[in-house]
Amino acid sequence: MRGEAAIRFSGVSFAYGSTPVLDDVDLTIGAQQMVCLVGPNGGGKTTLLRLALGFIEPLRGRVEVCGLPPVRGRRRIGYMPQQLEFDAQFPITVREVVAMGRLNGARPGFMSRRDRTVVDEVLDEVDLGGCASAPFGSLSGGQRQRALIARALAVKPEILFLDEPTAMVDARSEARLLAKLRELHSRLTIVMVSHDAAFVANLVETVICVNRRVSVHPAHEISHGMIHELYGDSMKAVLHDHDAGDGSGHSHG
Amino acid sequence: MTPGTEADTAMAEFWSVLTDGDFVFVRYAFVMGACASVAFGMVGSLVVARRVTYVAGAVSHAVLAGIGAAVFMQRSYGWLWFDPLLGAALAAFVAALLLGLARFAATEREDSVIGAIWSVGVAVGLLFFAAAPGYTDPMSYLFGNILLIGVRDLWLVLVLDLVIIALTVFFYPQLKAVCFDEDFARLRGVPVRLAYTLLLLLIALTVVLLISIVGMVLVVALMTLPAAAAGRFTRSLWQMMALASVLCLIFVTTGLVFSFQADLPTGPTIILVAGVGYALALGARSALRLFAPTAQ
Repeated sequence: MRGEAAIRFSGVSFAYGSTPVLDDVDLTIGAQQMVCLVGPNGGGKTTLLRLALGFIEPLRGRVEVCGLPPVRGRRRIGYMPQQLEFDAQFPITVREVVAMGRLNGARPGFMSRRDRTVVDEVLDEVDLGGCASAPFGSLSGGQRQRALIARALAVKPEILFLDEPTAMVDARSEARLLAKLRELHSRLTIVMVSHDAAFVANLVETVICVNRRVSVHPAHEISHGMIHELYGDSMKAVLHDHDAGDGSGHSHG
Repeated sequence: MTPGTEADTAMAEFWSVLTDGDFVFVRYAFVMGACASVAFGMVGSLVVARRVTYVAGAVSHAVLAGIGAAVFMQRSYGWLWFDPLLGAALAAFVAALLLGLARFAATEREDSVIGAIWSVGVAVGLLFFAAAPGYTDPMSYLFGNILLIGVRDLWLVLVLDLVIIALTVFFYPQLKAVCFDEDFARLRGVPVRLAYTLLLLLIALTVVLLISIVGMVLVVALMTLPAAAAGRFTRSLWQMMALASVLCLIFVTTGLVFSFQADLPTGPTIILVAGVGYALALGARSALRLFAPTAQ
């Protein structure tokens, strides 16, 4: 299965109004690959995710998810957006947030017994079974991130999208996330957007640099010079410690 | 007479009016308050949770255009079938659809469209009132009067309650998902635009039928204050809806009693009670946090 296209962009261009964001992008992400999109703000990372999710349509070119148009293929994606996008005062429990992963279109009524079982399983998988009834807004940054991953996993996805998974989490939560993603990688295609090169270098096989166009690099090829060229500035330091099993091998610059 | 005795006398007088067959409109007012509280609590919770209070404000003010048009047509052309309630409903639905378009289809800023619908609706309504033969006092539409409602109003609000409860029960997960995280709801196949438009139409329906209680200016307050107060103590949307309905009932009933005892206009008195209730809820929440700092 590894090597088949989970996501494919063919000659994709996109612009917000008169501002071009992506220009003739060709990119294939194979099934069960773990890749990270890096690049400067406004470079087009999140736009790539949103195109694959079918939230926006390309001006030119074609996007496929599991060989299907995004609007049909996106049901196979578990999506974890950035935490900052949520209203902390919204009255919703952790269990209700995770249960959103079991939504099935406009089908009315309550969750089935199987849906409830899946929700319990994924809550336990991210060690949040004890906080299921807590308000989502009362969780710490790391707990919220785990709840959102649980929601994405409740979809029973083939592909996992993570938008800035290390934002607003402490070092301990980051190490925990690292271990979890390694475990999930054995069964899922994982695509993440991150500015955290230290985290990325310890985890993914492939780094996709996005700045209107894309270039694909093995993670160990990412260097300070390349990052400086891409961002025009420095970011977190990279330690190419791909054998580190507990996430303790990475350093911060 | 001491103040305590005065209050006792006023209360006794109030109860005698409530049980007097000649004052059936007072009983109607209380039944209306109870029925309306369900609609206000449930739709208001969606409005507060989704943070679309200004959208509700725009819809409630736009209905004046429809009421004005109906009054004008009735008096100028003898269109007696064109009831102000029908005019209000038409204007509310048009406003809701325009706001839905502004949200999803237009390139114009949504807040500008909200402001335009809000102010133009009022202006059109007032111009229709001015152009209609005879004098029309817009105050009754602006501030309402719960003591002037009839049996038909009660039935309409009861039907509204049933519609809201049915839609909310059947589509609770979808409505909650659209209010909390629209993108994720879309990803799971929820027709997001339809669900948001449904929310706007529920707001429109609630505004139109409940204007008789507190009028178009104050309807937004009764839609948001009980829900906002309830939101301080609840951890899920359905709990917020239930508590907001109960709080709304308490505010409306207390406001009615106060307005009767002090001979004050009912609409503003009800809203003032709701405002005090909201302030008390904020204070109580802060006090709870102070005494139990770990309980979030």
